[in-house]
Amino acid sequence: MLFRVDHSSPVTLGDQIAAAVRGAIADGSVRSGERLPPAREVAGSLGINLHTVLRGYQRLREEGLIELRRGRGAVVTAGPSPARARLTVQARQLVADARAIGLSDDELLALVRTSLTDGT
Amino acid sequence: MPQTRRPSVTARRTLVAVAPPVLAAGVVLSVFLSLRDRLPGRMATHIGPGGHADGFSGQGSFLAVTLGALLGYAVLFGGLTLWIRTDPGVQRVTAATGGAVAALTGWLVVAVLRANAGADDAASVTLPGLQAVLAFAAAAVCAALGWAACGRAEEGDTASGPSAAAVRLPLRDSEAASWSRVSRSRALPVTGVLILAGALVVAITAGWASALPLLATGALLVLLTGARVTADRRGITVTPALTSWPRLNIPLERIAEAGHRPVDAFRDFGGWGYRARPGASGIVLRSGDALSARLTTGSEFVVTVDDAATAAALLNTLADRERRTPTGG
Repeated sequence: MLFRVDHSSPVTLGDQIAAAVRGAIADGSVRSGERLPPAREVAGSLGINLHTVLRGYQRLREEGLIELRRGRGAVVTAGPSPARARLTVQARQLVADARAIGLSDDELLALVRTSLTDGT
Repeated sequence: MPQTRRPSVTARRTLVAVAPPVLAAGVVLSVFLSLRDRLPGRMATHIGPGGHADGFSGQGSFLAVTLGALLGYAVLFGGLTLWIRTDPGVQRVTAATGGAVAALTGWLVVAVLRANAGADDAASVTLPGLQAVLAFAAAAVCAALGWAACGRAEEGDTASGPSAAAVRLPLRDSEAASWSRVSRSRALPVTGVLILAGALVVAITAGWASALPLLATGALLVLLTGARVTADRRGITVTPALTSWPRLNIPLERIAEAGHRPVDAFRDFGGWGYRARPGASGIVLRSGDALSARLTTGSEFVVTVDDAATAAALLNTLADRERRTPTGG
C-alpha cells in the first residue's frame, strides 16, 4: 500500500497516515487479515517520528479498522472493513464540509440525528 | 555531473580477486625454488594442533597441489566477481574474499616451506602457532586493501535519471511517500515443508543429530514464505516478511529507471529465491508481476510483487527528486 504525507498540509501527519490506510482499505488495495507494515518501518521510510505513525494506527484501531496485537503488529480487521472504511472516509468528508460552511459541531450532530430519525 | 567513463568497476574488481592468488602462486614458486636444495625429499605438509607435523607428501606433489589451489582461487573468485556483477555489494565482498583466501594460503604455504628447510627428518618439523595468527592477519590486511581497491560501484557510471516516457506518481515537493507490500511465495514454503518431512524421516531412522542440517534448511525455507518490498526515498528494500534481517537495499542513486513486467520464475531465472544471472538479479518468489529496476550499471534488478506499477511510478518520481537535489531530500 502507498503511504503519503504532506508536510505543508494543515492535517496532522498522524491523521494523514490514518487516512492513507483508510483509503487503501476502502479501495481494496489492502484486504482484511493483511498485516500493515510495522510502524517503525513506516516512520523510517517516510522520515517521520515513530509516535506519529503509532498515533495514526491508534486512530484506526479506535475506528475498528485495524487490530493492534503485541508481536503481530497491525492487522486489518475481518468483516465489513472496506465498506466501513468508506463510511469513515465519508464521515470525515461530512465534517470537513460542515466546517467549511461554518456549521458548529452541535449543529452538525443535530443534522445527523435528524437524518437518523428520518431514515427509520 | 558528466564524467569520463573510467575502466569499468567490474574489471578493477576482477583484478582485485585474481591478482592476489596469482601473486601468491609466484611467491610460493620462487620461495620453493630458492629453498629447493635444503628441502627434505618427503616434506611435512600438514601441521597438527600441537605445532608438530602429522601429514607428509613429496616435494613435487605439494608444489603442484598448492599452485593448483592458488590458480583455482584465481579462476573461482575472478569468475564469481564477473558473474555477480549485477550486485556490486556482493561483488565487492567476493573480490576482497578472494584476495584474503589467497593471502592466507600463500602465507601458510611459505611458512611450511621455510619450516621444512634444512630439516633432516620431516617428522621433526614444527611450526609455531604464531604463523597461523600471522597468516590470518595477512588475510585481514589483504581483505582490507582489496576492499579499498574495489572502489564504489557508482564511480565511472553516469547518473542519468528515468526517461521522460517513464510513468511517474505525481508528488508535491512537500510530500513524502512510501510504498510497501508483502510478496508471498508458494514454492519456497512447500519445499521447506517437504525438507522438514524429510528431516523427520531422517531423525527417526538415523537420529536427531543427522537430521539437524535438513531441519535448519527446512525451517529457513518455511520462514522465507514472504518478503516485504518497500519503495521509498531509500530506494528498494527487501526483507523477509517476518523479520527485519537480512535486508537487501538498492539505493535510489543506483536506480536509473523503474518499471514493471511479468516474470516467469523458471524460464527467466531458473528457479525461486535470490537469483543472479548475467545482466539481471533479484528476488523471485513466484511468477507474475514484478518490479523491475534498470540500474546505473546497466543491469536489471527484479523483485516479484503485486501492484509493482505503483512502486515503479513512485521510484521514478523519487529518482527525479534525488537527482534534482544530489544531497538527497
